[in-house]
Amino acid sequence: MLMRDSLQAAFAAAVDDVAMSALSDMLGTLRQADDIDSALLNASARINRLLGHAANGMLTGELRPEAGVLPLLEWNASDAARVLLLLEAIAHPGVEPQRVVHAYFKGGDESERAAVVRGLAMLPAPAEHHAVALEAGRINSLRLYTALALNNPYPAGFYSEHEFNQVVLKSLFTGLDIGRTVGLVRRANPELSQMCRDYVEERENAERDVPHAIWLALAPHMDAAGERQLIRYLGDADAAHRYYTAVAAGRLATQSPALQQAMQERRMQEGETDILAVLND
Amino acid sequence: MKYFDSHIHMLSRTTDDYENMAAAGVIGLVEPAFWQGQPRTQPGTFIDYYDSLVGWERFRASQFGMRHFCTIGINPKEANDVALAEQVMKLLPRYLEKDGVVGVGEIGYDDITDAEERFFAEQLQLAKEMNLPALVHTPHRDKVTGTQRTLALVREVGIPEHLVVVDHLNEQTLPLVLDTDCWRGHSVYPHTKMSEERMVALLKQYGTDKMIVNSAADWGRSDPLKVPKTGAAMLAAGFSEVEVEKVLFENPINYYAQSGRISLEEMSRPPIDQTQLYEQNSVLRGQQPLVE
Repeated sequence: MLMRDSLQAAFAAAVDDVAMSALSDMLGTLRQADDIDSALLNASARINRLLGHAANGMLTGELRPEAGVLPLLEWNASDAARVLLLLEAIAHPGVEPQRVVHAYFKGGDESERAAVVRGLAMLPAPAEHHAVALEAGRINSLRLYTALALNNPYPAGFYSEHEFNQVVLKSLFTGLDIGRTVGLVRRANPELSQMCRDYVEERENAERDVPHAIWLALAPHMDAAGERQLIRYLGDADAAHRYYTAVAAGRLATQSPALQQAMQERRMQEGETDILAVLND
Repeated sequence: MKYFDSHIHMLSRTTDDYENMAAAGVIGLVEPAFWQGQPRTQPGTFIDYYDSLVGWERFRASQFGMRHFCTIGINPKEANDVALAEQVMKLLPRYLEKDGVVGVGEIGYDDITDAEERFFAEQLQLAKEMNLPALVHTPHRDKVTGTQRTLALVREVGIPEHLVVVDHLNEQTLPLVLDTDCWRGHSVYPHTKMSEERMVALLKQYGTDKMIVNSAADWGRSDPLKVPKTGAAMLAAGFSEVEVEKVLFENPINYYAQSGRISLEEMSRPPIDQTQLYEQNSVLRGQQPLVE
């Protein structure tokens, strides 16, 4: 099934017939437009009013574009409708998809931009829209940044190693849960581990909290200093640190003797059942 | 005690802040050009912003007993809009000649991209050619790498290191800069960056030479009185008043004095005359003008 059809099915499951009909009419109008940029922005701006109460209906399931799994759990019906409008617009005869996507992003408000970013991985030739993704990552809107960085396969699928590392680091910096970063295990690398190790040290120097999920990015390619940090937090008073260090350590293909010993000692002492389950997995 | 805040974004602060800073002993400040919280999209936005830094904001400061200077540059975030940045670069030489401009800044890395590096290097080159100080922002994330890349670029461009202040340093990044002739900037914030206590610890450990402390106060959760508060913390920790004024008044002024447009000798509190206008605009809102 085409990406568009799959998204349309997920949309239909989240809304009623009235909303479905409204979207179909809008898509039909867009198909006839002369000025596709303006028509797309105008249609997009009307989406919430047209969908009414259905606009906030949440989607379920996932899509599987080339870049990886695209969970739909944070998409609402407005997001889906806007991406469907965008797909319709870039299929318009004679348009340059890259230009249309960029114009929509630039002309849209925060929620429209978030919808574009959510849908980038499922557009045809998604790598062409790399600049839009990067620009979204520079804007200090947490709503927009979350749309890019979490539950979105685009960074893992199309970013360079440096770009991907910056997405993860900024997610940690802004307090987001990198456990929801698609492709984190696959794209983990030594430089990312070092950046995370430095960030742990920086936070400790400032006597500020260390992000709980940082271990998921630090552990895969950690050096000796990183391992010492992880082992220390394996026994931390904060259960969330004990949980994430255990998860991160458990994902390693091999564990050093020091880490194995630390894990064994933790198994003997851990009282939280969910953490114990991870340790024993 | 006299203070000078080397890095503060007064455009985002109120006149209450000017009054409170003046009352706390802050004589003057440098306001670096930076980003406004969301991306600028036109060169004209930069023109209007630069004009306000050398114009209205300088006047507004004077109306409350503060000497206002600024640095001009294109910041690392907006350097990533290459087409726009190229247009803005053409504006810089003109603005760098204006009264009250004491350096290029704030420049540097944000996400450490190729575009950021290009315009960082071009502006370091501009500072070198015009023999002006260059105020460098080290990134909020991946600070160690950003500082290392900064120092490498300074060497590559060949700007004299003593013209460069590397700002927003912390326990991890200050040692990197100590190996150079660059000045060492630190920003004290309520909840992020440095604190007064940590700053005092660094001064005790590394001394006071070329050490600069600022508030970097902006539109976020920040405190324009962090320089005097750091002074109080230094005194409480056993530093002398001479040492406090060295770090918090003399060092920043002497650093920017390399521009030839500011000096320790002239740095006194300006007399207030609120009958003055700037392009027919007044700071008064119905109150009686204060004239000293």
